Amino acid sequence: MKTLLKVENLKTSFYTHLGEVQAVRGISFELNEGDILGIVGESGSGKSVTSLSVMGLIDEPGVIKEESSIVFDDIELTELNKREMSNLRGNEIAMIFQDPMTSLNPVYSIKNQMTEVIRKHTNMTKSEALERAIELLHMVGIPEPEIRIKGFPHQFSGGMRQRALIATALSCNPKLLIADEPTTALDVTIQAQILDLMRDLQNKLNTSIILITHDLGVIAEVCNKVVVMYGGMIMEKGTIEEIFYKPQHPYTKGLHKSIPKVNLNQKERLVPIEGSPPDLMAPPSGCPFSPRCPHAMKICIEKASPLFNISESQRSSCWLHDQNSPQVEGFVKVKGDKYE
Amino acid sequence: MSNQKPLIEVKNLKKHFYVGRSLWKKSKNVLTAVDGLNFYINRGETFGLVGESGCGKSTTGRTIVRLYDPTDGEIIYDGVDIARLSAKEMMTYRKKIQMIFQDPYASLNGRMTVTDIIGEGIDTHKILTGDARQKRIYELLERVGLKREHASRYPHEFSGGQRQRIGIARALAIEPELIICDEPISALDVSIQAQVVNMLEDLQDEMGLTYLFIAHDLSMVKHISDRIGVMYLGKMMELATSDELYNNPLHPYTQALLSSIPVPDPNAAKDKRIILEGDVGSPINPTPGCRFASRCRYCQDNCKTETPKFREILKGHFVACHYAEKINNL
Repeated sequence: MKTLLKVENLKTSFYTHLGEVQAVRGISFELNEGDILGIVGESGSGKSVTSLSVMGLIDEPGVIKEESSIVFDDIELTELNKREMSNLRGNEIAMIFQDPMTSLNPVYSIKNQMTEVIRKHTNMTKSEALERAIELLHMVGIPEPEIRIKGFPHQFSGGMRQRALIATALSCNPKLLIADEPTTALDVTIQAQILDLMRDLQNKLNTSIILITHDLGVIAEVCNKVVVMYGGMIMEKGTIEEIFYKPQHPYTKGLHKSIPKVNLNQKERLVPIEGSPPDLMAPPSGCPFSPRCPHAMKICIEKASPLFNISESQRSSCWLHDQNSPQVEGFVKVKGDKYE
Repeated sequence: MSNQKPLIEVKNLKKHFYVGRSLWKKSKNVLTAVDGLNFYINRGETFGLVGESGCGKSTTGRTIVRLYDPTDGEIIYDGVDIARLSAKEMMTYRKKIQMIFQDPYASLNGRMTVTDIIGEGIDTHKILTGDARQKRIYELLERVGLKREHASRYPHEFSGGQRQRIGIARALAIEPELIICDEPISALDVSIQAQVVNMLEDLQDEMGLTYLFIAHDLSMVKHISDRIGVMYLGKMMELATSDELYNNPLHPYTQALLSSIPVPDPNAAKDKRIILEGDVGSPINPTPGCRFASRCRYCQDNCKTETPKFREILKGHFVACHYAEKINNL
């Protein structure tokens, strides 16, 4: 399978009046055609900044640092100028945002907003664009699209607005769709509809998707690969089975333990992760999770761990995988210097 | 637990709002946020109230503490109907019922120090003064996992989880019996949620608190509650113990709601999901009949005209559906 997106050593910082906020601190991952990659993390973990960096939407005072590389479809995105990037954006890479209430302009009709996007990126005439927009709305399951398209955002419910935004994002058949918390603002029954729709569209159109969320449940529903982020770094990445059934990193393990399991009958006490997320203004010099980690050692506080190869697809950034660290139950030892 | 007298009993509680009202004429549009709720909560119990946005769960909580005046119905607290008490008479009960709010950023006054925030209730109810008051505030801070030094700080100096702890300390300050928790964890990060939930459970054990836990996160509600009520557009659809509700949901809405919880387990049956068509209807000027009828896959003609009764089908398991037995082969 072809690699569609390869992010290498991405570092994004924001230079504020208070100092440099290192939102993303050297992360690498790749995405094949047809993949649905989930990026999980808490607020402030850098997951949204990662997606905005790929979209080329980092503005002053934010900077993508020199050493970063984002290769999409054999094009190095960090070297593109504004015009080239804006050609790519919408055509090849599209994005949907968390809040369907604020990402639509309330004073324009849906028709207006959808045809604007379509005409900007294609040579279609007004009527062709309208036809295409109606077809897209039909595809995302909006009833009577010919009539509804004339409506304004306030006449659409939250779920329908998100459908309309997905339709708009798909209007130019992008190769990559980035969805930043697409269902967080929606109710569970509507969330189920939207996730179902995304899976369905992925099957039909073979669009690759990056799904950003804080909800492990949502990841389990739709993704085939997962990246776990914390404090601007990747803690662990792997296939969905590896992250859910064989998690290696203490943070991933902690996340699993801190969410209640619905299918259990007996009341089990939750095991929270003590402490609170790091301050990215002054991130810990070592592993960002070390202040909260039950297994933290001296080296964890001094130096961030490299990503150890657990399997062909799974990487975990924890010193416990090193040969020289003490044996702790549940942590695989990795021989030699097989890490990247 | 079943034989004891409930701490609070809500009977036929209604809260209607007039929407689109202007200064000159009274609006005819009635938003029935809460429309005839019946439930009780035993002492020391956690009662969960779940539902989607707009179903009236928060309005229910706010009406019980009398932040809203109920349109109709009774709220019997420890044998006394508090639904119609005057503000003065209500004071005794305000001391017994406290509330924790959803948004820890909006629910703390940014111009007050932590001491002032926690001490406000102590002053209002004239419980303690001077050193004793300050000592009590320190105790409370330590009880919720904060430090004494934090007492003189302002809310903006704290993280979301810490703020929610301050909100909890404020609710505990006057030693209430019942705490209404209105989505207390939904604004917090996943790793912090478990900390706060565990703390709420510990406090309940220590102080014998009773909780009304309002949330939309079904897995967390299941975790914390003894009994759960499921609301839809102002009506209670189903009520049972939490295990019973999750293992044996009888109402088609509950069944759909439970099946749409994303389970953090990739191999869990994804295809068993019931996807509901359409959106939640409007609570404005509702027509008679079951509120869920328009989205229900078992809907019959009489569902659209006759409001189903909220009845006990199995012991302690209440459902508002005409066909609950038929659907579930009971």
